[in-house]
Amino acid sequence: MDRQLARAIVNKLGSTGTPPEFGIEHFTVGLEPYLKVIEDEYLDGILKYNLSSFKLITGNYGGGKTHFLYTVRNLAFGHNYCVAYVSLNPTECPFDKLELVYKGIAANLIAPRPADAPTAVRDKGIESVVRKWHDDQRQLHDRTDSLRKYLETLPTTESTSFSNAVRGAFAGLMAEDGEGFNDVVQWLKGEDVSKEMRVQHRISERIDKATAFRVLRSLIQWVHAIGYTGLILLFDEAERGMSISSSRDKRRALDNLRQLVDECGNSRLPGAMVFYAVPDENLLLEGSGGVYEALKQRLRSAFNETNPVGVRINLEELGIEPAEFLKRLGARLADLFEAAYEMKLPDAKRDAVLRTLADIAISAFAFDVGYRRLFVVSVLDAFHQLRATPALEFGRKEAEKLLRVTTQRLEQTDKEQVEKEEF
Amino acid sequence: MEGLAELLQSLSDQSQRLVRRLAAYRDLLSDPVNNVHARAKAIAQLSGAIQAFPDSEVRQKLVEWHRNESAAIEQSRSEFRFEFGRQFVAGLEGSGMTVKGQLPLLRVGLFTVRVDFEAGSATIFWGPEIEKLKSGLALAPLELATTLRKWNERLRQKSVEPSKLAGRLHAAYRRFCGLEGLSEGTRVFLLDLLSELVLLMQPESFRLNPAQEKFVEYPRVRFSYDLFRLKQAGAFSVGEVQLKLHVANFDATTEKAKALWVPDSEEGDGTHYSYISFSK
Repeated sequence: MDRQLARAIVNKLGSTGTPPEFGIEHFTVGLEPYLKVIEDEYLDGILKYNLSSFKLITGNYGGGKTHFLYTVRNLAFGHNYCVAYVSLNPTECPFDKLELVYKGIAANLIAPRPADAPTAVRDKGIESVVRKWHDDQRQLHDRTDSLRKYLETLPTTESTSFSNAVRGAFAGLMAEDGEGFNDVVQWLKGEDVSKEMRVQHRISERIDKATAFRVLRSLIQWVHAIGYTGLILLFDEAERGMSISSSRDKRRALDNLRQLVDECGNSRLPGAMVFYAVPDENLLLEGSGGVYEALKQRLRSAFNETNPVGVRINLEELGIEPAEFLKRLGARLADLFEAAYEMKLPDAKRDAVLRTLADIAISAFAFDVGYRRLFVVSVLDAFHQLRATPALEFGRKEAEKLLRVTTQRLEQTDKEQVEKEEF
Repeated sequence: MEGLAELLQSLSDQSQRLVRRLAAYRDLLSDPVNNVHARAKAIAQLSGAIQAFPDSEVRQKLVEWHRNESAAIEQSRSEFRFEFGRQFVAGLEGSGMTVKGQLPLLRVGLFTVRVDFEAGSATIFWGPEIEKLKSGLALAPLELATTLRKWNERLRQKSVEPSKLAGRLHAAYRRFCGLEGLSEGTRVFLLDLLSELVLLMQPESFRLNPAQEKFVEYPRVRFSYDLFRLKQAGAFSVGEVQLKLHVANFDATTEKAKALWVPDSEEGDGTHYSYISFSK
């Protein structure tokens, strides 16, 4: 394994316990059965017949939801899907404001790419997908009139305004009209544009709460029309996107979710698959602000190897005992660490660190910050200690202390993160 | 001489108060980790008394002791939290109740426990934070586990047999429809029926003398649990008519009078129902 890649992964995992968006397969454990079903049944299955699907991902904080979503993203790239990973939050991207959700999707849209390196900012967003679309077509059509003809015959989308906008952006690139291109892309990103610009490109709609769903469907239809298999939408931290004050807002957010669930399955979302990750479905579906039983019933069925049509993917039930899971994860982390620092950890001490930390993390911290994340951060910390002091004695007492300090640190980091974003 | 006696008396009073508090605090140190929240409360109260003590070498020593003890309390808090999950699960072993979720919110079978490590208290709910059963409980993992076991067992023991409940519900439904001039088959709020049901459940002694001590209570939580048992047993038939529960809409779920949460499984999943009806 590349030393720099290994070091980048160790650095990211060791600091916060959250996975980096690259090199995820180097420390993936236990997800294989779920991923195989998702690949066989959906990415390489019904989505290729222009159908669509919705899955609810549940798993505790630090239980691997983001990891799972990144893994799905990489699988999807391999099957020629565009992907948008959107981290929901109450201010920038709350689920009760679909126009902001669309904005989040447009800003995070990525065309298929290798997954072993971070995505550069210029490769992210609807602008880069339009540019890539233009560049790819330019290579296929050596003459301008042929390219123009291609554009004219491009299937239209549900929203004519959206269709006109993407054609306008493409035409702007063809004509090397940078300003014109930027104007239309501004609208595609969900930002306000001048009336003159809209008139010029025959865009009659604004992207607001009344049109956001139609524009989102149109985005999916366009991605499909320009040659990709479809679009995979990965919504993370969904409980935060719902943490809104009033009952009315909550209802609107749940209505949007219900509509999205209901839309999946019909032909208006060709090749689309939506993954919506929450720590506990009850955070979303229960509580004092009203309960949407109709939605609850839609999201109730459990997905597994024998029931691929189930909606709820529970990452707490991977079919591996926690001890075995942490044992396998620990071994992969050790390999990563050794590759990152081009060294060999002393076998006996490495195994003792992994065994002790796994044992205590499961028995004493099962209901804390998420024993998986806690284990990852603590193991890497212990490995660093072992690297600095090869003769280090690491017993239960040291392990307990490390896990306790790490719990407090992760809780503090999470708290600061939430406060920073919301206020 | 003037005022000196009063000053000494005041100093003596303050000293004695402090001595009493310090003695009480020393008792708490017999189990420093499990008494951590009581220690935190006591140390906060001691802070004022120490500050009010006249500036002297004694006060300096008290201030230093207070500072060290406050740091020790933080350490004990961390140890308490470390032990909490393990002890709680151990206390529930063999109860059949599964524990899910993450602190500070745990799902324990059909109950939810919200813990507050800062305040050292816990609140127990029926279902997912639906019906608050008790708040301000001491944050003692084994005691909490015992309370939950007890409530869980009591619900089972006092549960009305499903077919008997269906019969009583039908009787209450007919009575309510008769009083309100509604035809059979009409949907009736579950909570409207609950009061009729409670009346039907009263013993003969209550009919003869409707005094408080003769009254047999039937709280919402037991009604909810018994409906769960009824659903599990599939006891929906009463003679020729069929009992039907109607799912609540979004707005109704925010009103206690319009919806009742009923478990779907022992793991704590459930559904809000608003109405009940009987029809052929």
